[in-house]
Amino acid sequence: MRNRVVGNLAIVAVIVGVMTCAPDELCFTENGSEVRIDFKRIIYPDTDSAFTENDTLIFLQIKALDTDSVFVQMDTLSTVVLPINTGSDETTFLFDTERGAYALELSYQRKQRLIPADCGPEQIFDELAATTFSFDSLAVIQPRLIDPPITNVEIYH
Amino acid sequence: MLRSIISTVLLFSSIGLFGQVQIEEDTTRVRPPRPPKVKKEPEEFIPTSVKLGLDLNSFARNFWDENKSFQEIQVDIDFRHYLLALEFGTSDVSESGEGFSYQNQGSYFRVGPDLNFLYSPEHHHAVFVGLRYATSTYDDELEYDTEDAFGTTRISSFNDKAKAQWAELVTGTKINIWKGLFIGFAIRYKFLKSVKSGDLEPYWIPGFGENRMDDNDQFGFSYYLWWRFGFRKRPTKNDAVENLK
Repeated sequence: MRNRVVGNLAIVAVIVGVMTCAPDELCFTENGSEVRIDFKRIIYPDTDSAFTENDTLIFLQIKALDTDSVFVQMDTLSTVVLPINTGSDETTFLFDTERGAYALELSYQRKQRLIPADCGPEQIFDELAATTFSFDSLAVIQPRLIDPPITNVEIYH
Repeated sequence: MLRSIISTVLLFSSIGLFGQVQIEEDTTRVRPPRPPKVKKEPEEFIPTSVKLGLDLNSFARNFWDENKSFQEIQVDIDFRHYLLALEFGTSDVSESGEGFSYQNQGSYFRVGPDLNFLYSPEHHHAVFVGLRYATSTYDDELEYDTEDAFGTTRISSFNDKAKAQWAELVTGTKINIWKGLFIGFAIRYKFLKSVKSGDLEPYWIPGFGENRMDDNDQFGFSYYLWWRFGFRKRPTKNDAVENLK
């Protein structure tokens, strides 16, 4: 009886040894490199309460330091999605609007990782913060950049 | 005639008397003999042997994957139903592709107990479940080019003496096939991963495998070949009792 059990176990050991598992390699990632900025207007219906609604601005152009690229030109928008400088820990955006010119410097932490096998490397941008800005006020809503982008920063007028 | 009537009456009356005879119940209690008291020997947890093993699964992968190199040895010491397992391994993993290269070198160590469900001093087969605490130390480096609206930048990120630790639930077998030679396998469920690293999230953790950020658990498999070195030849009293069971 015992020999039979041992024999069966030996067979199982050999079979399992022959089996090998290939790991699934998924390229899917939700990390992004674009920041989404929503423009909001603060409404005060009375002295005790306030709410916000979308604020539509006419942008003459939106640029960033360290690049000649123009991300937005002559457009009316309440939300913009802008690429950050992936080779640096900060990006400064310049907003030229009909209301005036504004600047916004965003800093972030970069982490690198290699997604399994053929997918290659990617950067993860997190801990987004507005270090300098000339808008009235703003708030960082989502400090991590994800794809598709969701609102990272709300700028209030 | 009278004699026969008297005889018949006596016969019937004797039968009736006979039917009323009560057999007295034997109320004497007889105690079964008590088995002689066997003084229970305290369990001896003195190691009887040590098995030195090589992970053939790691070794074989060196042949078909030139970008990865693995070595792992295992030592187990048996304490009757229990085994103390010590595992040590090294790995060298490199990945490269379009515009990137990744290198990882490190070592790992696992330690933990196994419970052998097939224990017998006559043979040394094992069907076991066990737990492991595992720790890993490694260096890794990732280099690649990133291209965006701001231009092309060469990113170089590395970890120096980074550490990771995790736990494992292990089950498997160890089968004696010839003299001191054993084969067997271990299936590992790796969990409670904790990684300390800098700006580079390691792609590989020696001993754990691929480090998926959104998946903290991992399954592993080892296929071992062991050689057993016995410490003592005579079975103990405990072993003799075990054989009687």
